Amino acid sequence: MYEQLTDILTYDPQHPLLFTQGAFWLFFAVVYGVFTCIVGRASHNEQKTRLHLRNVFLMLASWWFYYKTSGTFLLLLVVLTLVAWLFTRAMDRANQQGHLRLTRILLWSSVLIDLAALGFFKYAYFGVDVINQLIGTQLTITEKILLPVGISFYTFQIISYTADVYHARIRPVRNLLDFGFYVSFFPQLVAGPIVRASEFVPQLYRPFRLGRRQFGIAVFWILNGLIKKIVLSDYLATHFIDRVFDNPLLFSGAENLLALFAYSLQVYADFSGYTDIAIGVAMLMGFYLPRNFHSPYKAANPQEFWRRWHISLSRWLKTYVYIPLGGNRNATPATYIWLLVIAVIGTWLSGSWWVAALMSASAAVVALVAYVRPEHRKLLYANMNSFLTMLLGGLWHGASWNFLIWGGLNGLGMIANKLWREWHRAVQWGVMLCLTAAVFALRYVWAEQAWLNVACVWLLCLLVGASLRLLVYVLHGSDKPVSLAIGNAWAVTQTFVFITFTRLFFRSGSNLDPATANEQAWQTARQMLAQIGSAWDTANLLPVLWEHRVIVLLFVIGMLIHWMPDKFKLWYRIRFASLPVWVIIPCVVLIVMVLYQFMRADMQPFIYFQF
Amino acid sequence: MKPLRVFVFLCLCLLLTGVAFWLFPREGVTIGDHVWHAPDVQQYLQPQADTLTITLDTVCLLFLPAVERPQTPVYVSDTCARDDTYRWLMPFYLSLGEAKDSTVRVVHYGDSQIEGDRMTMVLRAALQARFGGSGVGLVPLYQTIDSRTTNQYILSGDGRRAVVPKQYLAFGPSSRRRGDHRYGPMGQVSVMDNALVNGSEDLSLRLETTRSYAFEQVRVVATRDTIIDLTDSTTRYTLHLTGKQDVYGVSMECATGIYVDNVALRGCAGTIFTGIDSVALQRYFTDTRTRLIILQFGGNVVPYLTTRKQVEQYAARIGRQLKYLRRCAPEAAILFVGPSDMLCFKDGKRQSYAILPVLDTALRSTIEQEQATYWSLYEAMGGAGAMLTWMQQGLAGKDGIHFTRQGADRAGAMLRDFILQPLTEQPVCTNN
Repeated sequence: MYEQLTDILTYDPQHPLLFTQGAFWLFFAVVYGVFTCIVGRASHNEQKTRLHLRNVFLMLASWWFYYKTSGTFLLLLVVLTLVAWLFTRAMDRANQQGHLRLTRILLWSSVLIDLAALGFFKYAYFGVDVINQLIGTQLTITEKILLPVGISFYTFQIISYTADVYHARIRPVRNLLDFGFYVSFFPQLVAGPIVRASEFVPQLYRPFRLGRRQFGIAVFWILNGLIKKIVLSDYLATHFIDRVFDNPLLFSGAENLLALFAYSLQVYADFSGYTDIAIGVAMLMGFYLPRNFHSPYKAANPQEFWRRWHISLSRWLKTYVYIPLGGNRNATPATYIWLLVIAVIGTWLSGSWWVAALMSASAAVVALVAYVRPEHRKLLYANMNSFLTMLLGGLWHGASWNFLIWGGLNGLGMIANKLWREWHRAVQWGVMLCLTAAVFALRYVWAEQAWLNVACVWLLCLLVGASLRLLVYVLHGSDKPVSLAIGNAWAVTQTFVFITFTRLFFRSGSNLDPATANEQAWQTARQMLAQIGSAWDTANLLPVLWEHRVIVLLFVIGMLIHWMPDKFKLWYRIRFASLPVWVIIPCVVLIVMVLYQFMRADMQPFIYFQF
Repeated sequence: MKPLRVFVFLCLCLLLTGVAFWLFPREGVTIGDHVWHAPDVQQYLQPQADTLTITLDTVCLLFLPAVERPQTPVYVSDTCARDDTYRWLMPFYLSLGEAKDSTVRVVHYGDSQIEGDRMTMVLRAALQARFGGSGVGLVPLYQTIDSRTTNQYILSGDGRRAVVPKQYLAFGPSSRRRGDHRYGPMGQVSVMDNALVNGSEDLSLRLETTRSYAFEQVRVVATRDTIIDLTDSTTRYTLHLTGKQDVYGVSMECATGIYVDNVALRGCAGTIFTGIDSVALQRYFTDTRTRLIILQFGGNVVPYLTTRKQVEQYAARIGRQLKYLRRCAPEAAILFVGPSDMLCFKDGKRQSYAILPVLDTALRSTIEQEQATYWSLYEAMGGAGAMLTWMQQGLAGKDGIHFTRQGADRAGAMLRDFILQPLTEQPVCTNN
């Protein structure tokens, strides 16, 4: 009995507390029991005290939750919270007294402390490698550095709070415990969404309120998240995707491609599943978290995709990286400094001077165009800043060449699509024709490169699309396609394919030991590309797909549900929420029983826990 | 909605889910092809990864003198090295020198013709006599058809009655398949689960071999392999297995030498490999340093092949299996042994299937295209009608298809001679 109690209360790295385990829901029920006692019937005079007590209790519960997930790294969370609170208080005082310089120093000090903590855990191996190479030392990291779960999310949240206080967007939180609650609120602590203080802090002082339908919606989000995580994400990962990514050469090109597309669904189901559960759990306690995903694979272009995917991070990057770099107005010194830094990191990670040369040449072309055509400067700066933001977003995931390529591809995709949409249909077609011809010519010269085969196939598809659009335009004399739906479906498909291919580099760099991540990730991505790009055994295609019929079926069902119209999704969500509670309860029991059939003992932690 | 109502809702959901799981039959409920299970309290709260605890029982140990390991140098004869027939077996020959300090594995897959360690044992004996090693290699945890003579084993729950773990097969009746294709190198998997099979007691596996197959270590090939070093050689050993895990087989071997696994897949046409999850296959082939894979199939399809097109289709399917195995074991050479001569009744007389020479040629062509070696058992036996002669000599059974023990020994000796022919003790050709 004592041992069981100890097991429950203490940290076990093998068994972190996950939303997908009964233990978490038991924990939540206990927390909710105490929560009920605190927020239950209170007189008007008592309300303030009760709210304060509720916040303190939820902070302590969140800390225990974090301790169960990340052990003694709880201390780091507590220290960073304390530091941010002290600095923002001091900043506010200095600001009121008109000490602008001191305010700025305090801002940067606070941000640098947060970034140092994040950087140490994320980039220590990379840093030691760089130092050893540069000055010939033999430094090694003797104790393996583990990344505290969710460190990026809470440091980003703290940075956003600090910056908002600096810019006087919000008033600093007076009470340390309230601030601690804002930083560590357990539903969103380890994988977001990154909540802005201006959205969450006012809720700290609002009494509990949960409408009947909101309750139903909260339960719906929780079940929706669990289904996404267990049925789609974990099943696809353990039964197929992980095996292919672990050893791409063991699988055919078709299997590698299927794994890549399935991974696109997996990562969405995993991350958005977590967010759905977080939103539902928070809502049951009367807190409202922002939406983090909005059917991202319905996006018709890469910009739209990033407006729908991990919305809180995209918004964070826009507010705290893109705009400070100059946004769509100009380029600041920070733009050039970051460009240089990334060029150096890219050269280092890739081990090729070609990267530095390419980035320098790109920067030179941009500078030249900006000088010769001043009217295009704004456009150039905007694109350069968004490209840099994407590269930094890539590096945030880890110091790996793969993540840098992933960020770079996304940045390039956004810029290319922005330019593309401004061109006339005929120009689009001409450019696509030239590009396709050029890649085919390259393939002819450089026949053994598998990635050229992939590029040829994809460009051919794009060329067909561009040709059809041009044909429609010529026949109808209108800029609109015959059917907007077909045009949109084509754009959505192409965006999905593009995003999926960038994920080749993303997934290859994930789940790896940071000490060897760079080399291993690059090797995996190359092998997968080689398999996908080499000659397919078409005679064997159907038997292969048949062998993986469950995976194919799950993928198709998952995508079809994803692509359902928003109105329909809203309709069934409300229908579920409006069901009587006595119907919802057996539904929950039945769904949990079905979900258990999909569960495996070696449950997968949520993908974004590692970032 | 008041928080108390939400709290009651949460408690009811947890309670009713717990009750539903508690009431669920422990052995599960079969719905369609799947068995639905419910977790126990521990699993419900926090799923645990499957683990298998293996302990040794020293009571049965019978120590024998250490197994001798001859250290004959390996050379490949000049003539054979240049012969196309042996070209694709060279990686295997070149690896034989490694058996001195490490292990080299041969896996012999086949249909009922090799069941009961037939043919394989002849090859194993010759290879181990020459390159060292002792032990019968990999055997399944639970043998559906108990026909081996080189070893015996009894799986029991309480020391008295035999228990049968849940077993899935990649071959044979489709009702024995498993959705996730995780079968392992023997094309079968036993799901060890004390809770389901045997209450809370552990399961005992008694392994016993003949003296000539004494072994020094036991490798439990499972989701996570366990190697138990016995410090000395023995012929008897009892394993106690506690917990839950997929077990693919148990291998009796030594730390060095050469091992030949006999994997008999009754009724199989050799087209099942692509249906086995590659991860476990690759891990086994890599961990055990498999350098030669022998495939002996074809007999089970002969009665159903009537046209040349059907033969070509079968050969193409075999080609795909070779590709798959090569990806799983890139360092291993592949030798395909074609079907033996087989008899059928035609016009009231026993005669060889007419399609056999066509099949033999088609298979040879496919195998050679896949850069593997083909050995025609049909030709080695003497071609059409040879089975009748073998029958008359007591080397083949009355069905005109299977060998008798003596016949299997002769066929095994022919296979052995074919494989070992290029090896010589004289340094006539470089062996690098």
